[in-house]
Amino acid sequence: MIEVTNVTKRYGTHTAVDDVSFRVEAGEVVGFLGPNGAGKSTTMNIITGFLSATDGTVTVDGIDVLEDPIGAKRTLGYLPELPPLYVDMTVRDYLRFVARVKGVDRGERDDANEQIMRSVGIEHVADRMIRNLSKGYRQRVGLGQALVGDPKALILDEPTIGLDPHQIIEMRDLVRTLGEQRTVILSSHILPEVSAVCERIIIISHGKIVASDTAENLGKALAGTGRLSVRIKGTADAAQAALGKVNGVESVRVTGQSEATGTVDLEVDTGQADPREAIFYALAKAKLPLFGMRSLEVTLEEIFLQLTEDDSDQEA
Amino acid sequence: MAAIWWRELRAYFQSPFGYISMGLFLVLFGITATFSILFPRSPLYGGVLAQMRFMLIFVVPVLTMRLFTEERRLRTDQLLLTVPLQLTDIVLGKFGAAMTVLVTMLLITVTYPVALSFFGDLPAGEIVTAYVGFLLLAAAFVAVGCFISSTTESLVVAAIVTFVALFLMWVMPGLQRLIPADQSAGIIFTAALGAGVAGLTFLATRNIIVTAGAAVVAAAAVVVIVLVNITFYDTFINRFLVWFSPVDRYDTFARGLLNLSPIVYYLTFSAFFLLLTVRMIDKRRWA
Repeated sequence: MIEVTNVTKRYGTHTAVDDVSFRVEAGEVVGFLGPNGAGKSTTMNIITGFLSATDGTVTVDGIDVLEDPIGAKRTLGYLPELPPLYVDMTVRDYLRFVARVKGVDRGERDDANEQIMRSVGIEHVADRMIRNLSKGYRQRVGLGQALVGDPKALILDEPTIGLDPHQIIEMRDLVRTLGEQRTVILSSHILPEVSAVCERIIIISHGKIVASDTAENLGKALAGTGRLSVRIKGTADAAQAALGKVNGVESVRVTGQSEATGTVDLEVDTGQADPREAIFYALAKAKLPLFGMRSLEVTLEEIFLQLTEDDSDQEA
Repeated sequence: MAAIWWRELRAYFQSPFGYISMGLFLVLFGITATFSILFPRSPLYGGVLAQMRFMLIFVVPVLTMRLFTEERRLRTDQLLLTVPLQLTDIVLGKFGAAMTVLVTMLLITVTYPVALSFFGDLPAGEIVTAYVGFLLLAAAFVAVGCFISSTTESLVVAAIVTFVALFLMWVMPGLQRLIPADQSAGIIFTAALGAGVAGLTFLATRNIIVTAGAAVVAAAAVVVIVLVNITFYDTFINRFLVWFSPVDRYDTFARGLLNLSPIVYYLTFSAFFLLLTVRMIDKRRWA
């Protein structure tokens, strides 16, 4: 449905998007994940034809966005990071205008817009000025705007930004429903959001794709790295020395210390081994009473941080 | 295009811009008419329009400053540029809306000659051609304003730059005596003109080879004229400015003539700046 091939965008000497390639199949819901400034919005702006790539091609439904921009734009609905709303119009007038510029047939405009307003839950504010709407409603009007013309694919840039937790859940449900019949690319810098809605996650950092897979597979890729949280009575130095000698322990960090109880909290990276037994005996031998030990789950959050922090160019 | 035009027209009257520009124009018009017709009891209505040309310098910036700056500031350009619309449709729609406001103002002023006609004979033909000329001049100014508003995100900058640009166009013919008329100045000016053409070519095509071609042709032209007829450069700047100035071309209309050449000139002038506007917006996608 959407194919991005070797797309690069340079602003002077700054490279915002660096040789990015990916495919999104029809009906897929794909999450675009990356820290702020990673190049998500730029990539989306290139797909929708708002910006032109310095290099590379983008095809939408088999149409090259440079060769036939109008044809490509017809198949896309776009919600930019800041919803492009004319605040001096009512919701109804605004959607009518969008329907006109998108070339929706005159006879179908009003019915189609009614249905869109119902589906995004703005029918009761239809005659209010957009100026007077809250952020959450504006975001929904923006989404409604993207739906006008019944596009085959939706590009949503940070659709939940600035919404309160309740609205975020609503927006997620909405996107999930929309994704049942459409191809959706959604960007976010918040991981749970992407993993809640998307079948596939593309992680982008410094303008490059660092990983592209399903949430589970991304988890598995890093499942090898185990981690333990350990609480020991004793000094930090002694504890670190004792743990460091244990087979299978890769690194030890002190995360907390309590004067009152004389305990130390440590985090132990263990790689693929499970050295819990060895740790127990080693601590006993060093006369460091073990107050607690539990294994920590590696979350997608950490995968994300790992992938985006180190600048290795590993391509998934 | 119609959708853009309609929305833009609504926006004029949902914001102060439409009222300010219209009010400003009509007040100035009323004052001018009072002083040049009523007080001196003069039947020369055409003189009012001739004087009002100068007022366009104040009215047009108010009318055009928001056209593209607002879209950029409010990020609504992300809607317009990602829906299946041609850039020319967007630009023409907006230009059309500004012109609609202008035509509306002018239609209101038609009440003056109509009212005057009850008290004496007015040269109807001359007044009609004067209105046509006025409208063409206004279209040229609006096109310039359109272009300037597409270059910036700031309303204030757009308004001031438009005002200065129109003002310069206005005073250009009057500056003749201050401008050097010798051959070397003419050659330098022609060279600068050639460089300008090359720059515009690059803006329009983004093709370095075509641009280089245009620059070479321009340079060759400068040299060939030096070799063939160096006296061409005498007073060349003057002749060019007079030729380029949109203000003086109005005179034939005021005399009741509908000559083809000034009509074509004004339409080309407007089309040229609208085309520049389209290229400017397109260029920003590549920035």
